[in-house]
Amino acid sequence: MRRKTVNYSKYGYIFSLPFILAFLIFSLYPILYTAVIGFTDMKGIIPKPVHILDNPFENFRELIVNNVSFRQSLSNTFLIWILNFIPQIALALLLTAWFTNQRLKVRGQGAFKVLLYMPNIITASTIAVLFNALFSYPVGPMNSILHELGFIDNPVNFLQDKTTARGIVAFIQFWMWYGNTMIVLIAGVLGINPALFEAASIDGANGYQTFFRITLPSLRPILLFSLTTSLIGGLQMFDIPQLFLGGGPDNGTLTTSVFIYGQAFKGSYLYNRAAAASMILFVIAAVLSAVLFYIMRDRDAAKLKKEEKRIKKAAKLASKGA
Amino acid sequence: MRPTVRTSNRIVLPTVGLILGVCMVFPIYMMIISSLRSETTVFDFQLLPIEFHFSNFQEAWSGSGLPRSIVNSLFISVTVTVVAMIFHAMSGYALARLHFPGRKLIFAWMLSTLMVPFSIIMLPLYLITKDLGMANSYWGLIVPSIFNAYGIFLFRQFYRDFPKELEEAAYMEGLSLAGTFFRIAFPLSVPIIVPLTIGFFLANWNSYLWPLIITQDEKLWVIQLALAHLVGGGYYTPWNVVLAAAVIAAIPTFILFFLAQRYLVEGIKMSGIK
Repeated sequence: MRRKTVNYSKYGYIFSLPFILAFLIFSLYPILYTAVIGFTDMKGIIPKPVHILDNPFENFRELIVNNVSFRQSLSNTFLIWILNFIPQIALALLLTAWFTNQRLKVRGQGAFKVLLYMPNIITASTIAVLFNALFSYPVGPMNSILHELGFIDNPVNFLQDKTTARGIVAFIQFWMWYGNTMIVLIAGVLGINPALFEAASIDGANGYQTFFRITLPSLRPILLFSLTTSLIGGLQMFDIPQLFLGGGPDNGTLTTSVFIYGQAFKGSYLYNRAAAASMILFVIAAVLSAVLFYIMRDRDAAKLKKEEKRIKKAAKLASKGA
Repeated sequence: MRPTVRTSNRIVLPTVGLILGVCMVFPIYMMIISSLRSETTVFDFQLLPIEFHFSNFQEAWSGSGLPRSIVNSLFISVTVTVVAMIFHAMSGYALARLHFPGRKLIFAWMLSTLMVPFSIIMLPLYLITKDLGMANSYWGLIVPSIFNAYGIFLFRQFYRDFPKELEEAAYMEGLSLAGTFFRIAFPLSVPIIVPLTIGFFLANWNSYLWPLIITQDEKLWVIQLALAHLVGGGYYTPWNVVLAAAVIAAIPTFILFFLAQRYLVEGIKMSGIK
């Protein structure tokens, strides 16, 4: 029987047309556009003729050399991200070890997971309001708790101090995202071949040994995946720093995204400088993801391929010689 | 024989877990009980809910643009989600099933956009949307939010593992390829559509930066903007009322969360693993 031939190509293009169009307009074009604006004198909301600057790298030079806020925003972003990521991954791993331990059989797991995941779904503006209230000065719940416990004598103005403000922003990020990381890690553990755990159990490994020798090494790709998504997320951290303290106090929680937003949509609408800052952020994101992909690549597969090539080459040589 | 677990582990670990859990939920609890206090007692440290000023909620609801912004948010989130599901499924299906030239290139390009932080493209995206005449309108809020590489990626993964026989049978019966997709493949994609729908709805309900950029008109405000305005908008609003508004803003996410938490977790698992 002859089968009708399917015109896959036609439907393939028709089906992906909306996507291709949308991505051309809303993704590829914007990236190229950013790159161009960064070299021009484009600014202000009223459209004016735009020229390439005499020194095309002027905006970049200005940002990197002279702009204190920009450099501060970069270091803030990294600091807040690190301060949120380390406890996040540590707590997520601990909870994962606990939830997936076969022998403990923790009861009521489902309810727990739901509870721990909850901060992630609450709107950022609600969270900003909530933490503003919790840390209010001079009278506020946090000040009261710390006073009652005897940690402080006088109320602390948490939100006006750079260090504590940064710490609180990092805590909020951590608090919002550890549940998400935990669920990804739990799914990762459930995907590990059960025979490995069985073998470990037969060999008499205890809980800690199993976790450190089997679970953790097998989770490597998932851990790196979490690291990558968290890093990209960290680079675009905007909602909480902006809503919570507007980047303040004294630029203490000014992240790069808040900086770009401020340049482009406030004050003198410096589109060119915002675009240049975006390009710098783009390069940072690209370099970091390239490094992570390099680390993440399957080493064993790469080795196997190399070995295969070597054998083929040897075979070729041998056949030539024969 | 299984090694027995020390009793300390049986007691200590759950206790630690319980304390952690309580600490983590504590801020949400504080928010809810504080929103029921009066203006003077709102910041008093009091663990138990002793006051019930439900009038705070009434005041938050009637005294601000909250109702309108909630309707806006609902309208935008639902529209984006519904349209996105159809388009994303189509693209995902094309990338998984249909072998056409350029398919791999499109897929690689799509994946690479996942690596681009939004703040990098927000300015040109704003300029383009303005040039298209969509700034400060529902169109501007909706159209650029629809396309998201993550959704297409997950649909592609789903259709790659989808049994081919069903589609082949439908095709043999004389259905066109489009018919096969819309009558067979799409209705059977519920396991991926449900978690993605929840994820999309939540993401759009919670989105703040794009609405902040693209809308000036107060009538177009989404819930995030309305709430942010209540805090820093010039007028003085008592904290108990602000907190009540914050609780109201979170209610739809809570409802969706408790109704669908099982699927939500499924969705994260899928996105994390594949």
